Amino acid sequence: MPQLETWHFLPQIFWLAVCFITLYLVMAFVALPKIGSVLAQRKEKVESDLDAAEKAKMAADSALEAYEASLVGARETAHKTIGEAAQANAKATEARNHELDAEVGAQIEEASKAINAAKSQAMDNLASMAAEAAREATAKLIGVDVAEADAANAVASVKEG
Amino acid sequence: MATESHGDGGHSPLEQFAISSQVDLNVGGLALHITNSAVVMMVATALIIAFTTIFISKRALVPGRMQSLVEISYEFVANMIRDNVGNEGRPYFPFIFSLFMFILFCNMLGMLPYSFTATSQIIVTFGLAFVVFIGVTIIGFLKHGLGFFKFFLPSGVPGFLAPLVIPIEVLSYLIRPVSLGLRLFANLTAGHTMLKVFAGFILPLGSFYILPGIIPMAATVGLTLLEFAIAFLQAYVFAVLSCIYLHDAIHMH
Repeated sequence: MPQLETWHFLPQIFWLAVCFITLYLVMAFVALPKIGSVLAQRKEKVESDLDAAEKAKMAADSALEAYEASLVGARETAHKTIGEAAQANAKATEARNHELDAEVGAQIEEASKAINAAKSQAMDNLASMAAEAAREATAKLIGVDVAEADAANAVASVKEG
Repeated sequence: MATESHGDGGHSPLEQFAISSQVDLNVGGLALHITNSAVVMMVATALIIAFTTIFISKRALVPGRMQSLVEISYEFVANMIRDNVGNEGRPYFPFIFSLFMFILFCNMLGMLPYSFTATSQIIVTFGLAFVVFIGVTIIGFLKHGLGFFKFFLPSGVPGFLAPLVIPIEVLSYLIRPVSLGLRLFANLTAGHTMLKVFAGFILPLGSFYILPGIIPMAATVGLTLLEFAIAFLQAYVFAVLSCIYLHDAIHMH
């Protein structure tokens, strides 16, 4: 087995030591700190990005909340306004109805007064016409000229009787 | 998977593990030749350094393919330490990362044709294992002082069992680096030997008829896939066991 020859032990150990010590020194003081710093830098960047994303999400959430709250407020205000308007409208309508009722009532009253007046006048006219007719009838039938007042009295007594 | 030509005579599947000096170096009487395994280790080191520094230099917020790969290997080892050692393991992250990447790249480079598997060298794997063992032991004593010796007598063991338990615990502690190094070495050596053996059947069998050559060919393809999995798995196992030993040293069981 060539590995067990002893003449090459010393040179191999020597060059192994040279190589390994060189490698160790370069790794420990140059390569690994550099790789480590790159990894740390990336980790930091990722974490800060995640942080920023978290913050942005929170801001978005609070904005959404504010938006919803304002939406609810606006809806309430709108309901209130609508209610007030409806109430005012109803009041105005009622007032107008009252006014119209009063007006119409007055007109009706006036009209009925006019009717009554016309009716009594018509009745009066009827009595005088009846008296006139009675006078003319007596004059034609029996040739007696009855006084106007007597005829009216007679009509009145018939009307009452 | 050194599939170099058989050359003259030597057909041993173990030939691929032979160490050869590429550049002869003698420093103060010590032979410090740059061997073929040393070349592979240097290449692995250079590749890891290039891999971990070039692709991250853009520092892209959204990583590209290669930057993702670098980050994945970083987080893979970081999670391994967090899961197995806990937060106290952070100071040892560069060490475990270097260990994992070094073994992984050596294993993977060994899968290239005509290259060499440095982690199939027992002296290399033992070297790494003993670094872990000695380091962990020092950490244990630094954290707990002489109280670290209590590690060898788990709490709740009745006193009369101590003479039995302590030697077992000491032995199992001392055997750790051996099993750690041997596991990596044995897996890589066995896997590459097996590949070589099956690959060696392809031409002799296939030159008679096509069909019998297909069977070792298919086996070689399958084994190659398996070896890639083992190359990763053994690097992972080595790193995880190092983490577990580290956990023991820091938390005392």
